[in-house]
Amino acid sequence: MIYERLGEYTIAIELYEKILIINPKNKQALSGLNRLK
Amino acid sequence: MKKQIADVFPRILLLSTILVVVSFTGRNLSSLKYLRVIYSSSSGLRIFDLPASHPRAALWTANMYYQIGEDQKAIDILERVTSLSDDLNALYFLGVIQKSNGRVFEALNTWAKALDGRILVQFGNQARGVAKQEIAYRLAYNIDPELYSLNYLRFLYRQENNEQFESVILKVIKDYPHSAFQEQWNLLLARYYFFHGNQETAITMYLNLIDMAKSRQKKHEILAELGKIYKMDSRWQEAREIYAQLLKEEPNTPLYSYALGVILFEQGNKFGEADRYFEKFISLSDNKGKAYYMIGKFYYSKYEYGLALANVDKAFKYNSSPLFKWYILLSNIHRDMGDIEKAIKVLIEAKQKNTNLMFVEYKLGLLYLDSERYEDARTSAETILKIMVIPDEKSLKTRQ
Repeated sequence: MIYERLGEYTIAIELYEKILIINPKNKQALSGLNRLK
Repeated sequence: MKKQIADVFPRILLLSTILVVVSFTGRNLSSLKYLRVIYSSSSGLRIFDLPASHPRAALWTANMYYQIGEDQKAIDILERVTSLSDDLNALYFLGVIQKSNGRVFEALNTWAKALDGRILVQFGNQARGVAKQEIAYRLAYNIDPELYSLNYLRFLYRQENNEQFESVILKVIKDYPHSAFQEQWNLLLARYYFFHGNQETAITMYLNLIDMAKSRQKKHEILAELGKIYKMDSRWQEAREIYAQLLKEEPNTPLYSYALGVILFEQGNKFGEADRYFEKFISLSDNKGKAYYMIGKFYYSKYEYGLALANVDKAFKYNSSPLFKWYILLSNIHRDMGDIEKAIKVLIEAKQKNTNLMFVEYKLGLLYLDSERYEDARTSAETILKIMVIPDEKSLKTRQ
């Protein structure tokens, strides 16, 4: 989230994807990816 | 006197020798329980001198390899033992080693084969990932549907897996009519019905359970549960009647006063009635800091920032070792009142107390972004990445 707001989208996407591998239903990561992709 | 001591001493010596011998033989040949204790402990208890013909010699050898860190050798031995016989302890132990090597799903299946629902449930309670929890609880449920259904059901309820939840709960209620879990199953089913469009059935179920309750205490617990779901559904009048009745019967239970305070506040707090109950709640509570925190949190959720701040401040005064969530709440209140600098100050203080560093750092990073301090925000993000353990690609693949 912090990286997303700092404009570092590559790192943010990578982290969101990692979270989704661990927990595929994580809402924050899902909405984060929706915003960025 | 000396003679007496001389008489007694040999007897004590003999007795203690017998005790030592008995306890040692008990240990070596004992029971599954002792085997389990040494598998799960790192106490350094090693018994190497058992004869190779002993029925558990293979397990001891595996245990020895496990304790010196040669996990693969231990696994090889145990896999052989388990392929030759249906030794449940070997299976259990194999599961332990698989888990400690990151082969979690294999471990779960092994424990299921060992018919060990207890460890599966224990694992499910501690596991973070939803997939792991689901498998652990389901396997335990398959081993003994009566004993391990509650954990599985609560999980399904939380995950809103309604179809599966209904089929499992109706099955266990029907299959085990005399089970000691009947009351808990029915309470869970009533709560489910209440929030899934069948409120009348739910309330009838609650009333039946209250009628059937064996003790006064149990009756109150079920009544409080009904009050709680009325509260969750914003049916304030019904909730108020229930808590008023409970408070009449048990005037010294702090949480009933708190619940009434909340309900009266929601109903408009006429004549400051809510405050009276909150004051009663605080005076009855043993942990006054926590009581003030709860009230502060409630006011914050109702956007009453002034009242929230006053209560949380008092909470800090009453408790010298506040929890990290208190700092987060205080910081949130300052942020929402528009004082970001103060909000940051509170979190830095929380950081110094070393409480839940990762979450505090995350909130701090967001506050830095709000106040356009981008470099500080970046430092926070980097700190989080340093603290947290991100699984590498390889272990992520094995999880899948």
